[in-house]
Amino acid sequence: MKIRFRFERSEELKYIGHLDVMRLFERAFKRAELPVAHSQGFNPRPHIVFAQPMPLGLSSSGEFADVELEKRYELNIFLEKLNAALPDGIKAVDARESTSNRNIMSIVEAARYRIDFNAMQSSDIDSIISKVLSEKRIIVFKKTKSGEKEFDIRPLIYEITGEANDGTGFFNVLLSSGQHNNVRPELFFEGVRICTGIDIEMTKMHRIMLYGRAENKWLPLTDERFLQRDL
Amino acid sequence: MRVQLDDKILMKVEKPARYTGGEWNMVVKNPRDVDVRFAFCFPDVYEVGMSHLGMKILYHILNKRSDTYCERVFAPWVDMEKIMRDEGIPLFALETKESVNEFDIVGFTLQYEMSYTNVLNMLDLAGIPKLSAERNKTHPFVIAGGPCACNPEPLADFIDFFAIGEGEEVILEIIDAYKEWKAAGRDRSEFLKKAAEIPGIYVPSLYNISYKEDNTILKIEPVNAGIPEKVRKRIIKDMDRADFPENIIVPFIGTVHDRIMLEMFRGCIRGCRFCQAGFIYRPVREKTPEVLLNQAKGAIEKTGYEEISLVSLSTSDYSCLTNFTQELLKLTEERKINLSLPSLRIDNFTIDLMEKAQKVRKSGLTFAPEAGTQRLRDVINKGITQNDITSSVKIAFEGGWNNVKLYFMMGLPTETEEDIEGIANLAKEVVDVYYNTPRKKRAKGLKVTVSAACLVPKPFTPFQWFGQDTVEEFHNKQMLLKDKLRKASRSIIYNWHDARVSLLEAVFARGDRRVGKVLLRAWQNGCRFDAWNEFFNFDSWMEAFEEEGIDPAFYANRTREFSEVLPWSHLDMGVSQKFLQRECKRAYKGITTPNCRVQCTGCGSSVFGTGICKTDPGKGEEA
Ligand code: SF4
Repeated sequence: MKIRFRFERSEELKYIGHLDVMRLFERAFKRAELPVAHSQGFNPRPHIVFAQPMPLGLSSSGEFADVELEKRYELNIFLEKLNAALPDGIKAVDARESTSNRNIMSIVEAARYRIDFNAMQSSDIDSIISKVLSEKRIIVFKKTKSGEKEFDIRPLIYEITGEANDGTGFFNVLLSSGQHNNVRPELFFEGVRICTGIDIEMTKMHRIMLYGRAENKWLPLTDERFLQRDL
Repeated sequence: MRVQLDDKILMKVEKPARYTGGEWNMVVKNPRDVDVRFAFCFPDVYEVGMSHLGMKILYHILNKRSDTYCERVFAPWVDMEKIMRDEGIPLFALETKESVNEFDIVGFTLQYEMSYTNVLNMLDLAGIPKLSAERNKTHPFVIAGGPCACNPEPLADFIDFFAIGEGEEVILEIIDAYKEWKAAGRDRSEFLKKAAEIPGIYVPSLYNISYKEDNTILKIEPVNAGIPEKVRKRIIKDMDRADFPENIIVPFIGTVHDRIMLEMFRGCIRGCRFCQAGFIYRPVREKTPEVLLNQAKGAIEKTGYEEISLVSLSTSDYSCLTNFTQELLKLTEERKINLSLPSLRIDNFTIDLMEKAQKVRKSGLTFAPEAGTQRLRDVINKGITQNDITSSVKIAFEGGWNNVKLYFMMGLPTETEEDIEGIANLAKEVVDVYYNTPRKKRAKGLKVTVSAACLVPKPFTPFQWFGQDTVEEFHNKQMLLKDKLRKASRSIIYNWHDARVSLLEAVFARGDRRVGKVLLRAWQNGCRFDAWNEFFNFDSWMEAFEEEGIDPAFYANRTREFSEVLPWSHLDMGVSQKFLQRECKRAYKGITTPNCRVQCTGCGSSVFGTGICKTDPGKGEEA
């Protein structure tokens, strides 16, 4: 059976990279004795697919992964077994059976972040936000395999709110995410710096939720609409 | 004091998970609930230290005691060290993040000489005086063990006492003695005297060393009666009953050996004359297959690791290898776990085994002829012939392997140019075997890697008296070999070692107390992480020697007489000096010595009354 689960990773476990998270889950499934199906072929790999890579330094409450198991499990038993085998700081919080054939990575279209910052100059958060939102284009440079590329992130910033006090504060932003047009928090910050000219330093990043889009709504990946076999 | 690590620090350093702990199976205790806090220090970076089996075993054994909390400490990488020094953050343990100078006992494991400056650096970062003589009641005891402790003298000024030999039992006796001492509220020196009474414990400050005019040692003697004249190593008699951790810590980040390590036996029957491990871990003591299978199963269940590796000095010498590996394969195949089989001699049986064990990748196969000619292989007692090697590689090539590594050593006693050329000839032979393998059978793209290390003569080996080649001599041999290999075949890649590192290893492997000053000076000159190419600074080391008026050649390149009092002559590793002398003479004559299973040659290790010396009646000390 295929299970899609949501998991969280807290501050204490955010100092490892995406490959480490993948390995952590592979080992946890082994410890939990939840038999993961493996790919066929020369180098059999366990069928665990993550919706979006988790860069080092990012905590999150809204990550998703699909796992293909060789046996059927009650979803609550699955969660119980898996969590008993996960180290402190990472926790599976929701599990649904999936019959969809769609690759989970292709569903992700947006992500909501809370990004904490220190601003070197005191500046009004509302004016920063309205400045960013009033721009037509915000050109940043994105590193690609063939050097740096110009990248307009303005259309990929969907929402910004925020609060600030005495030079520290946070943004709550909804950014385009996924396999295409992924805007990482660093890139968003770069954009803020470029269009406001304010010296602003990111101190913490937290992913609140990954979303897919259906029926004109942003929906978490465990929404029924993403779990059913595609028509 | 609990160290505060936040994003400001951790997001600035490479691999912050080196410092955050919290891994699966990490032991959590309340430090206020225990009597003894033990900081187990590995003087290298996390990924290296976490690959070390000895640490896992002792961590487990100490933490089984409810009165003791053992925590791990690694050398912070240079980026982290800089931040720690700038911000006044002391060296801390991963479990509680509390500073190491608050612990009762700080224990270092000494695995290689080039980690010694890291020992000093870690003490310094911990705010513990580097010199034992400067420590007082407020400081922890600093102890050390591990293979390098068989000549502990270069660290004698810095370490309060050493545990000689295997640590599993003696470490518990140390804890008991410490608790007693702490409860009695006595002087620091009282504990050192008490410790010296424990078999296997060497307290350097309780020994006087006097020197002759020619700078060799005149005498090593205890300062007063009741201190043993000789300290004999400790060993585990029954490996089956030795505590072995199944719930080992599973790191979040990749480490050098990121897998279950299943120790099959200790010691080695072979007696290759350059190999210190082959002598100091005698006699061979095996675990039975049943015990090993249980431990494998337990470790797989408790860690979730995807790979298990057999650990020993020579896998092929395990007496029940066939049955055991077949059973183990069942276990691993069922659970989709990789089995890695290092140091296996290649024959039809083992190649089949490796096919089964590693379905995934045909990684490189390793052979260690160690010397280029039969004559020289006889000198070093490496019981392997040209024919053994060529027939093994033939099997390997036919089995589809195309990546072969050949390990050699340079600077062996009696070595001539012919022997160096022999390395190239042997490598060429291997290449020829490949091209003589039918095209249909062999895999495309041959790669033969020749690695030639520089011999570092080690204590308790038959070469302990031997003067190491100078850096220049090594260099000439390396250039000669490079040239020969280039002419031999384009498929050969040649790796050589920095002879300057080997020179320092030779100094600290066989140095006496006086070289401790050089260590301290080198550390002051900024040396650390000397085992890492990017940080090794030979010039700083040479300055340190000069500043302290010590000639490295005296320790590295000088050939000693049998009559010389060696700096480690008050330590007893089981093998007798008489035996080592006999082996040394045979080496120079090119006479080989049979392995322990063929015939006991009376090395002295039968004093322990266990292992292979006991299994065959009629074996014992030769007159
Ligand atoms: S006493 Fe004999 S059998 Fe025992 S280790 Fe020495 S040589 Fe081998």
